[in-house]
Amino acid sequence: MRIRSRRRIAFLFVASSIALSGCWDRVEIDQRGFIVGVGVDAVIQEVDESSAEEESGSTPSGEQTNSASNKKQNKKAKYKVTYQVVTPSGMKAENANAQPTAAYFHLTVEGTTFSTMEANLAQRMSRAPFFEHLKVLIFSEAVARRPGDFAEAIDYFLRDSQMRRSTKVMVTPNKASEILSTQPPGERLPSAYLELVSSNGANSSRILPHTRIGEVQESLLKNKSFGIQTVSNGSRTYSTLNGTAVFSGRSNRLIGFLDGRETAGLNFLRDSIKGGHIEFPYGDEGRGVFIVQRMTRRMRVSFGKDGLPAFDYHIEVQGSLNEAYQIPDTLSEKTLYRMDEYVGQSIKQLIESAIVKLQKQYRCDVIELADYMSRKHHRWWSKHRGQWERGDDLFSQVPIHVQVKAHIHRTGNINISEE
Amino acid sequence: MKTASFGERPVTPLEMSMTIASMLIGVGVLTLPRTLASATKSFDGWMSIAGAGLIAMLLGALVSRTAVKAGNQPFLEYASSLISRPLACLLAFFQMLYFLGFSAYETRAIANISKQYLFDRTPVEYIALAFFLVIVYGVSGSRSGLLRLNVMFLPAVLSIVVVVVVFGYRWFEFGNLEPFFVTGIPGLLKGMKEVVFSLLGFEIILYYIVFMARPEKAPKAVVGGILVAVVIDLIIYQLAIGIFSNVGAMNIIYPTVELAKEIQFPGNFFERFESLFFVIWIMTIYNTAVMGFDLAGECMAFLFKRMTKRVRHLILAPAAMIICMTPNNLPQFDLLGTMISYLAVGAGVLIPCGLLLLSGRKKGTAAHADTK
Repeated sequence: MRIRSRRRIAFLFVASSIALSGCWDRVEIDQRGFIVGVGVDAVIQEVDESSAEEESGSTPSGEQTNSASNKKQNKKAKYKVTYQVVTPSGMKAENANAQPTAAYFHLTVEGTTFSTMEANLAQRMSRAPFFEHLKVLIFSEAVARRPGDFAEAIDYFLRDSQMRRSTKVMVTPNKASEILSTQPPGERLPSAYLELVSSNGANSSRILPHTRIGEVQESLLKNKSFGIQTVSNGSRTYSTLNGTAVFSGRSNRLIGFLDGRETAGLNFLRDSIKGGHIEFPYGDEGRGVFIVQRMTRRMRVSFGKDGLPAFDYHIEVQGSLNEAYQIPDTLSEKTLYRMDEYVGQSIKQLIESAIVKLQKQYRCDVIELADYMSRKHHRWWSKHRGQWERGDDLFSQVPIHVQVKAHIHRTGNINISEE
Repeated sequence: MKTASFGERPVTPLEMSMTIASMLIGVGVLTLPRTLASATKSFDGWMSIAGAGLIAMLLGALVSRTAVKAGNQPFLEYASSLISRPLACLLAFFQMLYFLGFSAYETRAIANISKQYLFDRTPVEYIALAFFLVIVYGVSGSRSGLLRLNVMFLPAVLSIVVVVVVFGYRWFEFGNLEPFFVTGIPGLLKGMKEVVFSLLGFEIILYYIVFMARPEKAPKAVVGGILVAVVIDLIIYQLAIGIFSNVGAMNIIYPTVELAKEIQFPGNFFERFESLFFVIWIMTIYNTAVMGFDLAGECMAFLFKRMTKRVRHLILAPAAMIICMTPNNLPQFDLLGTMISYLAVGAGVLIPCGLLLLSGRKKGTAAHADTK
């Protein structure tokens, strides 16, 4: 009896040592190559290898760029993808004596599908690529403009189980790899920096609310037009988030950009203003800056005789005066009232410039009127769904009226600065 | 002839409710937003959930009424007194098949999901095997211990749902729920079918009622348990639609897991919440699967009276593994799920309800049989 139970225990020991020690998927944390940013550029067929080599030569120390050397691949390659990989040693708290090492390096791979490019990546990295901490995904204009490519490229970043639907997506008119290598002083990772800037909407009205990749998929599935944050390269030490990349629901590809002013207008229309500065003229000479603190938006639809909807926006903005040149007596009610008027007009101009560009030039409903109609007037919408941006192109014809009321609540510490 | 004589306290109605709830909360909820979104438009699936919940509660009440009628004797004995032993054997066989399939299905589902999200390289067979060995371990102990396990795990499951909901609202867009009431009746019915399938499993009351101190409270307990599951379904569904929108939810294989993945805690010190979510959810799926396997053993005991528990499990476990590993891809796996659901409706719900009718009609003769 005793011997038997001892044998049993011995058997259990052996069994558990086999069963408990084996873990198929164990990867030590120092064996993972954390990829925090991905930049997707288009391969331009004319560019030969020597010029690509030159580019990588000009990159500063602490950053290595490997361009694909496989000629056979180059022929068919569609994308040139830059992966930003974290180097764990660079992330450590800096030693006063030690030479600061870069916290990241770049690897560039060319290919047509992202999984094979990931495999290529594994051939070059000592650590296995790991995407769970991917923060930003940057597409260059050329990729986003090519029909079909954008949706194709995004598939991998949605399908792979390491990916998150909350990864931020941006579009750049420059090279995605350049954006990824902007490194402001004091920031360790460009990707983390870009992610932070992307949610700076409270300080600027010209930043579109950040776009998550999950939302992009929803828009692509709905065949609706949508906007993505645009990032452009200022210099090596900063990138600028300013503007909107407009994607058409007709072709699911990029068809143009809105500049900062138009993006601000779009933000007002979509009720996504969190803050920001509005410059306004005062009379002939004067100028002032208004800070948006709160806005409320009401919209109404009325159907005209031809059955077309007309949209009325009532936008009320509250805020304070932050700067004033040549504005008389900011304390008097009359001046305040006039300033309110001017601010309202300036905002209205922003909004109208956005509407004109979207309706007449791009014919893309990024204002989300389609969403509104499908929610509130579903019956009308299900009849006219096919005519909204295609066919009769109703979107570009519907009248949109905007009324803006601004209220300046505070005028700051002083009355006037010069007489 | 009480089976609950392990010197343990019998199960209270509340504990029975929790048992039913943990049986119903399984892998169904993980995919429910997708199946519902495919069947209905916009946010209208809530009507399907509510309707299906009502149906399930009604059926649950009926089935537990049958269980109450059986009184102190095990359900299958009671059935054989009503419809003769050969027919009862046939019923036992189908129910065994159902419970075995159910447990195998849950095992495969959790193996699939773990493979996708946690164990990238571990073969799915081994994940299923490891999970199944724990199930076999679970059923070889005391049966009422399994019921206690539900009582222990369910609060954890409910609290993880609360966490998902509270932190998930950050991405919630009310606009995604609109427009209301746009789905036609056929769509709603189709959605209802999906929800009813995910709510099957309350039939376990037929067998577990013998553990209850006051069996007459069983119908209430069952309805309460189903209600908990329905409420969880509703909460998860509205959150999934609010965050992913209808088309989004339709195109995500496991929307509920993606919900957990979306969650970010402020301060960034705790990332990858989904791993915690998984651990907790595996617990409730374990409960579901282990009860299914236990009852398959029970049914087999009725068929082969002299067989010992160990032999039964030695036969059933490999059978379950074979069922579990048969589907090769997701569509086949869904087919298995549908087959098991139909089996459940037939053997687990309709026949017991039929027995209830029969017992009502046989009332005069039944009294006669009792005295025999």
